[in-house]
Amino acid sequence: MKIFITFLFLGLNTPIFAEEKINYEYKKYERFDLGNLEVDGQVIAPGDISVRQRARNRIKRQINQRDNFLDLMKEEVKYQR
Amino acid sequence: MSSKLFTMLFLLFSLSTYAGDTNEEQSIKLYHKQFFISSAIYAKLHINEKERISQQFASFLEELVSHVSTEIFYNLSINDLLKVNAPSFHLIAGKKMIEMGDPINANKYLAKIPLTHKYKAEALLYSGVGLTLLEKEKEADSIFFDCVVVADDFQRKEKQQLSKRYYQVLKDRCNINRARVQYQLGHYQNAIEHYHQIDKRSFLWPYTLSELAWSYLKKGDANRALGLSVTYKAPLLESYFTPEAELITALAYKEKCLWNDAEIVIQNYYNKVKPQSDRILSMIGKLNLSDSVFNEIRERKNLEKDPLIRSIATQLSKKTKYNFAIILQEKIIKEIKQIEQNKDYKTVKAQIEKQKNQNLLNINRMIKESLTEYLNKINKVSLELFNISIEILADQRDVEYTGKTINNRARGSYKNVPVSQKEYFYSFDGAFWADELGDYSFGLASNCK
Repeated sequence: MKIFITFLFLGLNTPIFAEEKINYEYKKYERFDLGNLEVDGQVIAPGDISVRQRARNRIKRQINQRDNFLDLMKEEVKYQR
Repeated sequence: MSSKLFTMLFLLFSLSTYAGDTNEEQSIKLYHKQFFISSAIYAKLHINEKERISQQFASFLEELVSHVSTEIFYNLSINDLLKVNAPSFHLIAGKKMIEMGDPINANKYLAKIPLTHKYKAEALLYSGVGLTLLEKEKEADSIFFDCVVVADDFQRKEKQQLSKRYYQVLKDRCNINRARVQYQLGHYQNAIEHYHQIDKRSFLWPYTLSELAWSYLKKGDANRALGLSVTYKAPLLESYFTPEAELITALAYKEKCLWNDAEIVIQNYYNKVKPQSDRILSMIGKLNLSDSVFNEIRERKNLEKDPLIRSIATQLSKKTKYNFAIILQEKIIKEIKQIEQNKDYKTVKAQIEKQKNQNLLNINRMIKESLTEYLNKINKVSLELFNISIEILADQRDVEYTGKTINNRARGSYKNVPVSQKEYFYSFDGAFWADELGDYSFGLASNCK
């Protein structure tokens, strides 16, 4: 009896879970005629190459031009006595 | 038998006497036996252990300083130094305060030194430096002027040559500081006049050349600055280490838009100092392990063979503090020999041995500091020269952008050297004459236009 019920259950379930096989087909060739394409809108790119004029940035290095001799004065005190 | 007993009793008596004495008593006794260094050591112990020092002992210390100088007391803390109401101790305390960045308090104690005291001129020198650090230049100038007057007065009264020299050096230092104050105020012509007051025979004179060159450069006379910097190439001044002279030279060439000349100076500097820098670095690393470098410099050995060691030894020998420390070491060694003859002074001997080691450590520390300062100066100038190099590139690019052309200049002309009524031209023929040193000038035209 048990065996019968098991086979019955298996026989009933098999068609319910079976997946349907789908075949996709891609387009193998397509031709675009770019010359014929039309785009709506305004053209904003400049016709000629131009650079806006601006002041040249010159990085200035700080060169230590002595303002005082304090370091030497301190050294003098240190080594005087 | 009786003589042996007498000797034993005497020894016991002497030992018990020294063992029971306070440090103050010990100091006075040793002074009367003319063991001045040992006396100073016990005096320091006394100062250290007491809250207050009597005026009587302070007067005794002032007397003791005249025999041993102030160096031996230098390792006392400022608090200990201020316990002693004596001018010499005010001087050391004031000096230490300036070194520690407290010129206001320093000047309070330095002002306590009376006008008739032998250290007054030195106290005025320190006070002036303190005021300059506080940016009170006019007051500082007046104090430095007083220092010159006081030092001159003492110098004339003094009979000993060594003391006369001490006051001469102080006078020169104060005159140089007057020039530095004028420079700090931006009065470059006044600074130049003060620098010219320093006698060419003074051992401080070579050091003033680079400062004088700065004054000329700031005043806009790059040719004079170049002439002064080149003076260090004279054989007489070879052992003076002045990397700043190279910086001034490069800056002066840059001022005149003589970029190629500036680049040559920079390249030569790097070629010369790179090996020196590497060597000092390795020496500093070794100093903790070996005393050989210390001994070489201290005892001035093998100086002819090694220009770098010779230069460092020369720089050190110009420092008064270093010389005082060397003299103190000699005095200590001499006193140890005298004390060794008397077995009663075992404790004293141990103390003076400790002082000897301490002083040797101080000397070695000064040598090490000198090496580090040498290295720092080299590196500082290297960085500045690198910046000048970058600036020169930018200057050259500016010229390219503006479409200007660089002139083909002539090497030099008398026309480019402004002279006063007292100055005449002598052409330089590749030889340095002692009387000409310090008066050289280039005659280069500017390449900037």
